[in-house]
Amino acid sequence: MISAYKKQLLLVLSLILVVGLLAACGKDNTGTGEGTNAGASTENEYKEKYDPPVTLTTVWGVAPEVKYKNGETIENNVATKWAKEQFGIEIKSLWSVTDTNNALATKLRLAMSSGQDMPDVLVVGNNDPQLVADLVDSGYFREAGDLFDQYANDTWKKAMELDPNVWNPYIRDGKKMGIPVLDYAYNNDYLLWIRQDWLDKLNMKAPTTIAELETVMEAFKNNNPDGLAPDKVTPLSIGFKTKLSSWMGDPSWIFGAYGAMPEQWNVGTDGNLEYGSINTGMKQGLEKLSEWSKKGFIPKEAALWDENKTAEPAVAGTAGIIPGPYWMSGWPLVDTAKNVPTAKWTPIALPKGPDGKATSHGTPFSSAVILINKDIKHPEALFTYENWMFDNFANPAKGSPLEVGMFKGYDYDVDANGNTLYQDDIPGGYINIVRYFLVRDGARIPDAQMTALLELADGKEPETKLEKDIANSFGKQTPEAAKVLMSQKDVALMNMFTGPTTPTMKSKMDYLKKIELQTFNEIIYGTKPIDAFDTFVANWNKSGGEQITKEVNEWYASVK
Amino acid sequence: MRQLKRHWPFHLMILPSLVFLILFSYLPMAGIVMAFQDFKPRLGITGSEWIGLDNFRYMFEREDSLEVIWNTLVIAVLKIIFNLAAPFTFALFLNEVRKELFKRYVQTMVYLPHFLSWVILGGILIDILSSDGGFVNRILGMVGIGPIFFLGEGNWFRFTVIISEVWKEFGYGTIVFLAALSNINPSLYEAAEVDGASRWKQTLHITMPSMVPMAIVVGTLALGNILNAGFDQIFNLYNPLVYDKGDIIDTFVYRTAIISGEMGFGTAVGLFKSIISMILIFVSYRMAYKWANYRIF
Repeated sequence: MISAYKKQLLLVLSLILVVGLLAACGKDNTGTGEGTNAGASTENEYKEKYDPPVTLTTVWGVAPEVKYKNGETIENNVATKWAKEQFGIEIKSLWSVTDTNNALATKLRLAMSSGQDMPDVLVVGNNDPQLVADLVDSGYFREAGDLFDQYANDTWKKAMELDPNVWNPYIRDGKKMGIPVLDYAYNNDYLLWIRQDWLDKLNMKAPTTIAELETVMEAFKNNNPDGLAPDKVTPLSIGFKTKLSSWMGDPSWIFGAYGAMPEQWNVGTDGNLEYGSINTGMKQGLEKLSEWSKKGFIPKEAALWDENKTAEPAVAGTAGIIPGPYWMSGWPLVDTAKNVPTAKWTPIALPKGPDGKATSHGTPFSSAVILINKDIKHPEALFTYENWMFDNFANPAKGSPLEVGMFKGYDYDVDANGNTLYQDDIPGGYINIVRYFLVRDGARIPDAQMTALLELADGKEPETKLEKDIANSFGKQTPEAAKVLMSQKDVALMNMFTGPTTPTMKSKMDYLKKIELQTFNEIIYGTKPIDAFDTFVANWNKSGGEQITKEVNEWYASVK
Repeated sequence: MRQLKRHWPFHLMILPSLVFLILFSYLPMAGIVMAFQDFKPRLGITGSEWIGLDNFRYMFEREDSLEVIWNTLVIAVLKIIFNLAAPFTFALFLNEVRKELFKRYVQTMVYLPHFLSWVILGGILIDILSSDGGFVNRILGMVGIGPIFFLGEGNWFRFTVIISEVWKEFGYGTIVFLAALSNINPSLYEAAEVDGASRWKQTLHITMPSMVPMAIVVGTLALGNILNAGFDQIFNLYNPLVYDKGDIIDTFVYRTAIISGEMGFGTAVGLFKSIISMILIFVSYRMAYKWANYRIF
């Protein structure tokens, strides 16, 4: 029996292998066709439209959720056709991958190590800083800062000036080697979401200090307005399985109340950068957390909870408070009403510590970088494209041609009576066209979304495209949350170190992070006394932290 | 040559596996040189700087490297022992079941968890083992045992990891042992019965000795995994509270080599693991030959 089974298995395996090999060969053949004869024009100046057309090559890491219609592909679609008609720019794709399991990063690393041609324009996300650093250092790409100064228009330059630090990761020897792709600001800044209906029933006010917060949590737990038993309530839903400072449900702001912001580099009192997790404020924060853990204010298994898990009790209606960004009203908190119809979440400012301090981690204004090939023939064409995007697409005003959308039949449509159709009403389905653009997200001005939100919060009717988008697809309390965020604008602290990984970081940082998380968790759970923090700081410095701090400050001095 | 003529379909069938082996196991061995380099993707193997044994030194200079290696060994050895003992015993029991249908049903049911991914099982385990109203702790609570923080306390974590691994994999091992059992010559049992041996005596003197060679094969092959304590499982279950008892070589390689892109370092650790495994397989194979007079190859 076994041998018959084995034979069958072998046959199946061989079949799979043969098919796999054939498929692999097939892919190789199609991938290598590449022509560079287009765009023979040699003149090198900025134009609104190029005639004869010029070519820009690029590569795509396509997110799996990207949709197509009318038989289009990422290489050839409404946006590439438009670029050719509008600007005379032919966008040519060298290759594309579906970007699951870091496929784009892997493909780029392979391309680098095997010496393949890089595209004229390469856009890579900041989520893999090591890859970005390797690409910048690879020698494939030219300085981009001079091109930006020469060709970029005022809208783009102004948007870039909102935070000059966005250039930092790409600066080498004073040269800007890549152009940051801007993103909406404040996306990751923190505030607290609290159950207003619970507060009302208890006749309590929203807490403004850590002490008041404790009173509220105590009441939520032991005197629950919904009649939940104390051990069923999670007064404050937080988790710290992998990080203390993350994007939802983390405890970073508690340390912030004592003046420390963990897991990032902050400017210390002496003007040098200091690693937030070793700041003395951490000690008080840890003590508080340990106390709350004992009292049952935070989840018993917080050490096992990641970001998404913290949303579960909040959605189930058993959590009273959850920290997070302003957009949480749209997701996940919108679902709480399905479980508890009376539930009402309200955004409130971060509570202040005993010294009146409150701190949140900040949001970098940039999500990706544009790298420009050393051998590019027409760098100015990229700017023709992006300048237009910043002027017309980034924030179309009322009455502009792009007021309702960009491509009819894709991101909007008009029915027979002249009514505009959005989202699911579009025949054949809605297409998120920003995915088709040469540069990620088309063009975003960091403060545009926040400005729109604030206008809406003041009761303005949605008029511009951004305002309509927000009104159509964001949660109800989002404008209110934006207002809260702006009221505590100064509390956000950005990670000041945005340079490439330093040599000592490479060999030591993992160990340092490990002892950090381990010690902090043990203190919070009470298996180690609070003094373990001092031992940790000494260990941290001794085991490479001191050297890393030195290297980080050398970098800081070079960009200051 | 005549042999080849007669058996060519078999050779053809083995060809894809051979190509596979050469392509994915032998050719990549050239990449081992990366273990001695400060490998930079853009410079490639030819251009990267040679740093001798520095990568290996990094591995042992880490303050926690001994702890990590020790964790790996403890978890892996216990897994190997239980993964041998559990299916062995279970196959013995199952062999005594006379109802064929029931036997097959049980066999399939215990084999089923083998196909579940740890990503899914990890999520399920975290929920049912929760000390805050999880299924297991509620049952323990009924008999008066206070909530146990299975995944948050070092020793319990190891316990959980080993038990859950055995639960997931013993069905697979059972099938291997059942196959060995089906190969036992029935005349042995008949002869024993004639001699008046009881059921227990038959098990002790016929069934178990017949299974020993298979146990040796399984055990010997498993020794090669002595430094693999199960990355997917631990990665999905561990947390900072159990780093001192649960962090293993693979999880720390994941954090340094994959997340931080230190390919050279990752290769060095991989090479270190391979060498240890090879020595162990070699030794255990020799021992099996010497004491059990058993050759696998």
